[in-house]
Amino acid sequence: MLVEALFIVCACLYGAAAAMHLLYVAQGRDGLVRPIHATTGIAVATHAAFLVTSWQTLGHAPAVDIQSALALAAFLTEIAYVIALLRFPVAMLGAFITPITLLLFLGSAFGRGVTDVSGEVVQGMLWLHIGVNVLGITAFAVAAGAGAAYVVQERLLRQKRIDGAFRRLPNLNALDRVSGVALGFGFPAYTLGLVTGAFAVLGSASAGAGFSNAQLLGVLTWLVFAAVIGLRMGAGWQGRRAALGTLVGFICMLSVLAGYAIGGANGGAGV
Amino acid sequence: MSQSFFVVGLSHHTADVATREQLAVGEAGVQAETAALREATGGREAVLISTCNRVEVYGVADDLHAVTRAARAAMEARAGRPLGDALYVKTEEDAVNHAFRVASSLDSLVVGEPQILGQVKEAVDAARGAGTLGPLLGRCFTRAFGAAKRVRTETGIAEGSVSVSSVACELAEKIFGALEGRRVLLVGAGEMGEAAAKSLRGMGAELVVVNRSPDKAEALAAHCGGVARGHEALANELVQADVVITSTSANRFVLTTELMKGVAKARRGRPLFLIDIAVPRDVDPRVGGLPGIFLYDVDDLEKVTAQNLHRRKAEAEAAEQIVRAEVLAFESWRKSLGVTPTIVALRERTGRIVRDEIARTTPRLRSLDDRDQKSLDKMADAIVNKLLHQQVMALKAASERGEADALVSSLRQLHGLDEDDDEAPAGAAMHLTPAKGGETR
Repeated sequence: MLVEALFIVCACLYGAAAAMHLLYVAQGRDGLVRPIHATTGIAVATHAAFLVTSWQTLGHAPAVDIQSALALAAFLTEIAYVIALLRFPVAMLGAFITPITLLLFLGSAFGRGVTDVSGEVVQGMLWLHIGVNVLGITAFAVAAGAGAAYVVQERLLRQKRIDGAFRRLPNLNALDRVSGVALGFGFPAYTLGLVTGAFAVLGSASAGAGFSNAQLLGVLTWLVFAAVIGLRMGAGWQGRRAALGTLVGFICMLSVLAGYAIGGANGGAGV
Repeated sequence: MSQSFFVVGLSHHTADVATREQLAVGEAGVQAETAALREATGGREAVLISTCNRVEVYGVADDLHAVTRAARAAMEARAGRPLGDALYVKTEEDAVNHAFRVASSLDSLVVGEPQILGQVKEAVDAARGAGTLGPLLGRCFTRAFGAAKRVRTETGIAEGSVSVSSVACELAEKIFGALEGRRVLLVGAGEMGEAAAKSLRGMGAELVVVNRSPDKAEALAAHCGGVARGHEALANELVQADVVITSTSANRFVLTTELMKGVAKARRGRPLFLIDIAVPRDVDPRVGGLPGIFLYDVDDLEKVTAQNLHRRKAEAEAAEQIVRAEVLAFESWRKSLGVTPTIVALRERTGRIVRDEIARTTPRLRSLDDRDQKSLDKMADAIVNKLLHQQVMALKAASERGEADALVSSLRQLHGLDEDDDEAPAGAAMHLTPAKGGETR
């Protein structure tokens, strides 16, 4: 009961924070700045309480299925945003990050329960698989938020609409750097997640059934991010192209997560 | 005699630059000039503000008419000629309002400009150093600084750049963030281009100058603090630069689409901010569509400055309301000064009577310990406060309406305050605790 209540309160707070962020960027009301910070802070604190309470209720860390992984990833995404704020001049990037946080958090309430895999998969592998994937999701969420902000800011600059929102959003260089750094953290984690996931699937009783749609989409996601990083490093991709590539990769990743949330631990029907 | 505020001066609104030049006082001479002006005019307090757009003397005087006349004469003597309508004289609330508006940049050539507040603060410091800053002017400017701070934080009056150079800097920062270490390429030798390049250089960017004439490139580079390169290095410098400013007198495009396609490819997607200040344009407009290249011409920049100016003017209305409220608060305080000595005297007299009676009675009371004595003291204070509450409120209300004189006179007579006040300073209209430098707290 308490867990559900905390979930609802937390979701509402994230929603309010996201709305205030967007309102500030659009209309620039200075009176919103403090409420934004306060609401975001309270939302994160409530989220932490939700995770702790879930842990106590479940009797184990709330990171053994896709739903709890999403809830944890949402929490870490907001924490990563705060860290980015300390490191880069990206105030009001929350207008793009917090809605993603909310999306991940709401997604954690959607879908079926955990499939019992204890008899089929090495428990350590499952923990590692989920753990690194949570880190990957978090990093890609931040990269996507920064990428979306870049696309918007760049468009405003090209259209010479440099009043209003343009003033309030971070500079393009900072957004590109945040996206690049986040990709740099997220890709190795996601790669490890893919590898451990492959081991888990091959080692499970349903190995002969092949890979599910979500799992295949997961591989596609990896390929998209690999291409973005490769082109960033090799072909000097920066700015708009890199941002759009990151957004495509993140959409693929969201599809993977949706597949798991709807289809259960195996990610739905196999190929 | 009551003390009155005044300001005598001229500004860009009333006098041309030649006239302002004649009266301008250099930074080094402000302190001495302030003291000299106070001496010449016979005022009680004086502050001299001298900037490129205004020369004004603010003061406090007993005889307003005589002092403002003397101030005008002093300024005309300095100018060496009559100044007629170029000089304005404002008194009392108008003078206070003017001081607040000036500090808040509402009277500036560019509304919202940030320099004026610092300049007024320096003028006040100079007056403090000259010993001409008294409690009234000190408090006035302290409140003016508070109003200016409110105007800057509560309105958008200072937002948005209002010159082509500063807009260019603002846009460059929005693309690259901090400009330290960024490379600015200046192509050509136009004035506006030079101004923009200097502004960017001032923000920490490195500057490279390319010109068809090596001599001009060298001279401009030396003038702006950059390095010169020959025109043959243009393509290479375009690849290296982060910001390019073109300001040539060429009649055709200097940066063609073909040239810039090659540059964009060599840059491998690194953003390039192109500012084309030339008329006719130096850069083919199609270049703005190339990946990673942001092109702004002089029309775009001027449109931005016009938008920003328009917005500042719109914000000025809100700023005026803040200034108005702060001026009213200051005037309310100033009016209350007239009744403060009477209120203080009333409290002292009434308090003395109550305490004397208590002191006469307490020896007759047995077993009166310290706690009881404290209770009696508290009771004495309460009696004084309650007895005088209505009278104090009435005095303050009357001072707000400017009708306190008769009430003060009656109260002083009824309570015999003038008999008690043998040691009060003659003609004192203020009863302030002077803080350091003459400002009141």
